[in-house]
Amino acid sequence: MEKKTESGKVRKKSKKVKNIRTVVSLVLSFILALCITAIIVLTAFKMSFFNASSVIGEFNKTNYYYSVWDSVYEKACNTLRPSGLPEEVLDGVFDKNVVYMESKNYIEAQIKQQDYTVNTTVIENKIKDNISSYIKKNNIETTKETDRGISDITGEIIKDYESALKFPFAAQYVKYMNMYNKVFAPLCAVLVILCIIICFVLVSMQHWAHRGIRYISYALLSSGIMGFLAPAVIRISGAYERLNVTPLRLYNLVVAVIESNLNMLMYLSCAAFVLFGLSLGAINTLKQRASHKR
Amino acid sequence: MKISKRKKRIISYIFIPVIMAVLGYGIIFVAARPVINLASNVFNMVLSKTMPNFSSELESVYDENAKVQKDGIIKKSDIVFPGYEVRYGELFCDRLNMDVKVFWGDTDRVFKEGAGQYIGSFLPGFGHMVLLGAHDSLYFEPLQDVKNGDVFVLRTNYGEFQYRVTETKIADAKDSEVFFDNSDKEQLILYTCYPFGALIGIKDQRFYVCAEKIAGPVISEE
Repeated sequence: MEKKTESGKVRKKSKKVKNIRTVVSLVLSFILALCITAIIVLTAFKMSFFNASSVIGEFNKTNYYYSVWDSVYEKACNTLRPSGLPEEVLDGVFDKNVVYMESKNYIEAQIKQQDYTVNTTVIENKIKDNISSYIKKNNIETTKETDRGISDITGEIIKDYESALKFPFAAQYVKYMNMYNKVFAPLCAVLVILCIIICFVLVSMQHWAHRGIRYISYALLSSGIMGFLAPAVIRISGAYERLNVTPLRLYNLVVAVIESNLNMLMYLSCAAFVLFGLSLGAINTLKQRASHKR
Repeated sequence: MKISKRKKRIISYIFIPVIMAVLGYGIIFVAARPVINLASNVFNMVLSKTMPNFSSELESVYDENAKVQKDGIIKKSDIVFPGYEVRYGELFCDRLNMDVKVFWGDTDRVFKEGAGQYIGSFLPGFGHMVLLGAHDSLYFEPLQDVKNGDVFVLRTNYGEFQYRVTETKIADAKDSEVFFDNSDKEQLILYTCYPFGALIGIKDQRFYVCAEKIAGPVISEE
């Protein structure tokens, strides 16, 4: 800084330049904060909601597959009820372990976009055998119409069985997951490059490096606050627990996936706080070096 | 009091990020407003006031022991309207030895417990068609012995209504013109699968019982 006797104008000019530099630095810092927040949000969604392995893990954690048997049995009972056949014709038809494995394999195949065919032959034969035994035991007269009716009921039960095994929103989920994965990498790359450029400009604008890093630390703390606050408020309020989703297993799954996503947002925001802490350390170190040089 | 440079720096480390965060949320709110509004509207459609109830038991607004009006006028504003799959009454017929719970809504869950009302029809007392269905193998099995002149009593959480059977009919399940809504009087239509109890799988026909209101209060819209 110049110290001249015409110092009035020179000092005014240097103060003006300093103010402009401060404003520009703050603006760049704010843009950097927005970019880091965007990276946090995109990465959180990539690692949780739009991550097939993570979602499949939530199916296991919420015991989704075990609950499928209840739906299968209830649907079969609903189909039987108008026909006059008792629930005992379903004894031994739906094995819990088989339903678990079929449901797990089917849903995983849906999410991984693989083909899978549900084995219904054993179930179909068992239902027909049980109905035949019931008719014989109760001396019920069978006609062509009865046989057609039994065939219709069996077909309906098999159709309901396959439908209960499926995850209802698999096709839409896979579609949006693929769309997201296509845009994630290029978008993140652009944001990261922008962050690097802004950091470089911030540091090189200042005379002392630690002053530039100070603006980077503002951005890190601000992005941590932005990324943490909203998910924390949603998590604490528990608004997503009032989602009117049925059946229970689907409700538990949706809530678990939302919670996992909110947690990931908070974890990544905490990473921004950690980086903020590290930046404070860097500022301190550089400041001490600068004061030694002086 | 002059604040030291160090304190100023610490204050700036708090205020500047907080102001940036507030500005950031503001910009996101303004820029993404159409998306936020759309998402908010969608969520409001699927969000309920309380956590969903997954209990296997169906709710009820009906009290068997409560005294209800059998005649006169009831104000619509005094009625507690049942929610979906909620019990609101009971259907009796002494001659047929029938005593069936009545629910608003006609789902499989309801049919397991009693008779379900089609939500496109009216509650009793409004002067229009009341349409109740149930399984022929369960609660509406006695209807196979119904005769013209039989009286059904429909007791609800707000009033007691009586209906006399005037006609029975068998029609195709998909026949939508079978309803007898051409009378000046309020009608109770009971329907179930036909033939009764026959083991023929998915039944294509329905058995309809039409009954006209003979007693009970009238609901005033005012």
